[in-house]
Amino acid sequence: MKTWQAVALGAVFAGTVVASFLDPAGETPALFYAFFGFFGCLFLLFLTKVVGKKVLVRKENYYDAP
Amino acid sequence: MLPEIPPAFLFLLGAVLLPLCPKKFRPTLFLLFPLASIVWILALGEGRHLTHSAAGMELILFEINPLNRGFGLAFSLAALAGGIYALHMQDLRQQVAALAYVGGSLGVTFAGDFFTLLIFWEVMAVSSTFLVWGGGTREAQAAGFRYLMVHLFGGGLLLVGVVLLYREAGTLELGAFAVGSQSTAAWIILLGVLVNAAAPPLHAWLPDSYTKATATGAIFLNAFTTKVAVYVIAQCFPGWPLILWVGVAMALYGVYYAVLANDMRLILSYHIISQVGYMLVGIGMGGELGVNAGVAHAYNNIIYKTLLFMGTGAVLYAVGRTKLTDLGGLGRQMKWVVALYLIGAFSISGFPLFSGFASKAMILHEIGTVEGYLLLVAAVGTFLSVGLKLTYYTWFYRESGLVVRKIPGNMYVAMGLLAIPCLLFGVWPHALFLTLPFAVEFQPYSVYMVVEAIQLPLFTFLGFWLFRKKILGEAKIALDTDWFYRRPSSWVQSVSVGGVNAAFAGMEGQLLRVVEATIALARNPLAPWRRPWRDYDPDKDRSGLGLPMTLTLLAIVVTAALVIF
Repeated sequence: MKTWQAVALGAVFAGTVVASFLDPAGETPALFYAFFGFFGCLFLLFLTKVVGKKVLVRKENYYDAP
Repeated sequence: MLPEIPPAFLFLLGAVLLPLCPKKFRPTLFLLFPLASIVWILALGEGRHLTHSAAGMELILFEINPLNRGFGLAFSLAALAGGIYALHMQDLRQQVAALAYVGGSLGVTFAGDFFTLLIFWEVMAVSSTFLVWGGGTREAQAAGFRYLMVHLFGGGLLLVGVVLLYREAGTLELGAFAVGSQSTAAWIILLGVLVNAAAPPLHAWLPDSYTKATATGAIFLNAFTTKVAVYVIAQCFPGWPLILWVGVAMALYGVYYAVLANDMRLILSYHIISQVGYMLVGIGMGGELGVNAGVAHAYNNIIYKTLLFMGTGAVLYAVGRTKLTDLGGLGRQMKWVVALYLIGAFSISGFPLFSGFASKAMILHEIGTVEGYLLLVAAVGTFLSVGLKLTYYTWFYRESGLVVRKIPGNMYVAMGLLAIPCLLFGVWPHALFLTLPFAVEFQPYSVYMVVEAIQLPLFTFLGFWLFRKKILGEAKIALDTDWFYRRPSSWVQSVSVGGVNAAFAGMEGQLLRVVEATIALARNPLAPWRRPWRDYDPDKDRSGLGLPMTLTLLAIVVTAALVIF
């Protein structure tokens, strides 16, 4: 990822945080969904790459070569 | 005024006419039928257009109501785009199968009674099997057969349910069953429909078969079967709490396997299950808003999922591979495919200004807290699998060195056609709302929803980016519930075929030994005692002459001695 792309994404994030404070309804959490997205992603990666790999993943010829 | 012919008949007519036309006109002629279907649906207003009395039953072959109208249009649009996408193809079997399949789907969609629905349901099952077989490989043959078995089972359940319903209620007219109905018929019908909706554990046919079809076959397969089932559930089971929880489970189940999968079409196939889950959540919530939300998501999904499958189909066409572990770095040679695919991926992830945003907002707006958070986990997985994993490892990441074949222009046109509603419904959700069964008073663009819809994928991306070197993994498969009928099949085979064969072979061998022994005994009573078993051999079995001669000589000598003395 190029630097300007990272900066642009950071600016979008900053924009959402600012917007959450400007919300007339005043119900928008500033960072909750950021945390949710990040840890949700790590959680899913853990469940698939660590747990799933042990329990469910088999060789590709699993059904052909009993 | 147009004749009141059901759109299904238009497509079935097409399936009959197409083989009679010259080969080179067939792909173009194919487009005529979805176009006619769109015109027919738009021109004929709501109401019953074709009924028929048979065997004392009033069959409603063609009925347009606020719910099925939008589904019919979305299906016809998907068929049109699929036809354009396949313009370069010359494969009569797949063309006819696709027309019959779309015809069956529209037949179910516009059926006003369960008997008509059942007939078209079976048309769908059989014709779509030919689309799976169109893949042409040994795997496609086997997967198509498994697909047919599961769908015949689902169709059988539906048949039993319909017969029971006729006995219980005395009518087959399509309508909503009361929430939590005690009617056995309702539950059996629901089970049959859930097979087609790919609800776990009855879902394994979907990823198994869709990944084995051709690039164009998968375009058709992805759009119809599951969404037709969603329509039937919206029509017959709105507001059932069970449907809501089945939906939540599907949303998570599908996304989990999508993150796990290595094949790009397998990711999209599993993700269909997740998307159908979202729709069922909306329908399960019930009420005008809930059903609207589920149905809106179905319309969006038919469009962007087909677009996504077209993107992966373009890769399959260009390099002949679909496994992420084989791909990489194709982006520079497929810029437009990447761009169009990303429009679909952003739509399915519910980005603001893309079509999934409004329908996801509608679902999340109505839902309870726990279910809402579970759906958000599914949303994270959606962007992680369809948006990031598939995109990054196919078109970026590393140079795979594969030779990229030029993609026909019609594929781009088809993808562009579907990208339009993805953007239109995102920028102007009201256009989507106009197609929904109930009037909508809903503003999806609130600060809250926009902040949520931006932060969630943004930080999913951050998590992905940090671990991007570790996520790809190896070329392997993940076990699913089809294990229960695929793995034991070799065991069952070894017991039921191998075991029986071995038993008969053993008995035959023993019997032959008895016969041989009897023959040998009859020839020579001494033979059975020869060890090891062998035939009579004069060199070995005839006694030597020495002993008899010696005995004779001895007898002569003894006799002579007795006579003399």
